[in-house]
Amino acid sequence: MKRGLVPTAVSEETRADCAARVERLRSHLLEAGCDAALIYGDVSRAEDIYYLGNLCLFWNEGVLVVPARGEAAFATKLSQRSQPWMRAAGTIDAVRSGPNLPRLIGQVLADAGTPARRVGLVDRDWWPCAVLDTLDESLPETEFVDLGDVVRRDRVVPDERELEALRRLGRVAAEATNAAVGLEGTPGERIAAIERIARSAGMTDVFATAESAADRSVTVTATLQLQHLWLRVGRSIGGPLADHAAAESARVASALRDGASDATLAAALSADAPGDVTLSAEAVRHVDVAAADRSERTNGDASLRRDEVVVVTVTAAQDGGRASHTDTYLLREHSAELLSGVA
Amino acid sequence: MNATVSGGVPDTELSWRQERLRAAMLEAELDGLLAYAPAWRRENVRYLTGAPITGEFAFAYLPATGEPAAFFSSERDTRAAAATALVSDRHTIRFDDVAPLRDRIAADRVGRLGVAHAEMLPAGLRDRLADAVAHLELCSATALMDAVRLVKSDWEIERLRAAAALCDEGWRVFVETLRVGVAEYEVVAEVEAALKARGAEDNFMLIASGRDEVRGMTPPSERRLQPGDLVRTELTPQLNGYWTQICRTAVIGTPSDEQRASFELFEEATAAGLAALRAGVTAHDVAAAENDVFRRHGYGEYCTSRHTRVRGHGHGLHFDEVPIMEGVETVLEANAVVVVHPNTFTPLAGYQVLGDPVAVRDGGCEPLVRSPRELTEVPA
Repeated sequence: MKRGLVPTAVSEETRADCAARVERLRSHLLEAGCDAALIYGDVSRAEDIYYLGNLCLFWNEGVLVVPARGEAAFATKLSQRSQPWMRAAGTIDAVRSGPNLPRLIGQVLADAGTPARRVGLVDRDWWPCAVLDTLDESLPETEFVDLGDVVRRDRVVPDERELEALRRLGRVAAEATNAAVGLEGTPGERIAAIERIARSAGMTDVFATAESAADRSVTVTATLQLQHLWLRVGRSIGGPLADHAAAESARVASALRDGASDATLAAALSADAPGDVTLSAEAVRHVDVAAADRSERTNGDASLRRDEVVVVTVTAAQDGGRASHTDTYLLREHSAELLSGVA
Repeated sequence: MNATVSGGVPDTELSWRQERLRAAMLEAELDGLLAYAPAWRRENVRYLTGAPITGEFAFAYLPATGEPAAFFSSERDTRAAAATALVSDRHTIRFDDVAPLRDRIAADRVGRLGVAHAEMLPAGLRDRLADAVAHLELCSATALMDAVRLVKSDWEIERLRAAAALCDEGWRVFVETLRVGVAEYEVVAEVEAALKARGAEDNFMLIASGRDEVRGMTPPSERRLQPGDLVRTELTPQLNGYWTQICRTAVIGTPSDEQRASFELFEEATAAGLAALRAGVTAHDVAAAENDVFRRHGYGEYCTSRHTRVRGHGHGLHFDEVPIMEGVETVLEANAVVVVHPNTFTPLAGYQVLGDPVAVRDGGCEPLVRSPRELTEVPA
């Protein structure tokens, strides 16, 4: 659930950014021969909608309707009472509320005068069956096609304003993680330190964990959201494996660059880890980081490219003990810029 | 959300849950029950596994006879389920490879399978399960699990009491934080920190500040509190898996006559709802008792969907369980836990919230929070 700051005014820059993103999606629609795109989101998965319309889906579900021509509209299960702040906080003026999303989508397309002969579903695999199955009933003449992760792909390389926001996220995440790591307290108190700092700094959402391992180490992780952007930092403290994870993280960071792959990161790890310590490294693009663990989406993807932002977690495990070191980087051609500088 | 794992669910509790579920499955002629958990609705999988999961999706499977199984999208969740040890057959699966789940269903030769939250199952997962379920009769088991989970065990109510104590603490911190000039999101930051420091896993929280122009609850904004504001919150911490909600309103400064009148109206409605609540009444009965107060005072139109949603709702492993609304004939049995809140807009003082969580008992209900229902005044 979102409980962070949702500003009730939209800057001109944000309005222009969202308009440009919608136009880019429209160009994808034309290429695919579609009359409209439908983007489904729920409270746990709505970054595409935030990206296109600056809309924070703080609870429940909704579908952003982007016609190839005409105004975009948002259909949501949130009540009509939510509409004033949604219009104020987002760039989508047309908001429709009701319990039946497919019916709302049909109404939105009809209102827009869109023919809807062929409609693209963004990330069709993640659409809930109940919504997908009843779309046919609301739009019986329509052919639905899967547009895949077309919006996610547009988000992979951040623009300058997004980078600025990611750097801000990094600074807040570092401050919050330093505070959590530096205090003596319960896991809950460490989490509280992250919550207080990050939410007071105006983050959209905060997910903090403090996990104890069998070797008495504690791993603190801060996953922060600002607008549609996510960033993660994590540190282990108090166990023999924590130093291993930190040292190996430095080795992996030095291998980050344009073209790096899972194999590149694995090769950067020490080949002569002591005893039976098991080392692993995982890179996840920032667009696949969220409240829920989505790391699996990136695995198997093509190599990382310059200007992408990645969250890298290096883990050292031994006899039930486990330590990890997580940072977020901007990839350059021959190196990587650390966005989340924890002391 | 945090990862401090709560104490395990005792074997007796697990047996009680499985017996109730299997009795309901027998009545529904189900050979198997598959609970699906998307990232925002994990209650059914948690009920079966006890695991505080954080991954993108998960399944829990309970056959009519035999051992249950669980399937998680992240290794972390599989480890969390291992820690609770309620389900010994555990697997980590991927969105594009659900073979362990398919194999288990096939091995059990299930004929009729009920799926809880079937309506939320992503199309891609359904496609990948298609081979395994092609020969099955599939049906939704969402209502079945909702009905079973509606009635809590004494063990569960003990946990809901603990969550309710956090409600009291959260409200105390909320009031302490209120002052002229503080922004809504800064209030939330302090409350979140206080709740997490005391072990809360999560918190569902809405806030709205301002005067009679406020029409509903919102996420926290940059708005800074002003003298004369009503500051409303629905505060819903989750502790050891269980959610409990308190609804309160404070005023910055001395309340106006309209604000006092508004509070008295809401207090009368809340009290009426609580007085109507006892084992055997329906959700409709409770909602009607609350709404009758509004109707009697000439504010009946503000009980409609134009201005409000529900007059309360169930609590448990999800914070928004059975809706308390006129027309909902669900019987509230003993050991159901609900919050009674007549939250709505009126022209008296704008949107107002007031409500208490309670456990339903044979002759009435047991309050779970101690915070007095009053219009709390904060110095301007």
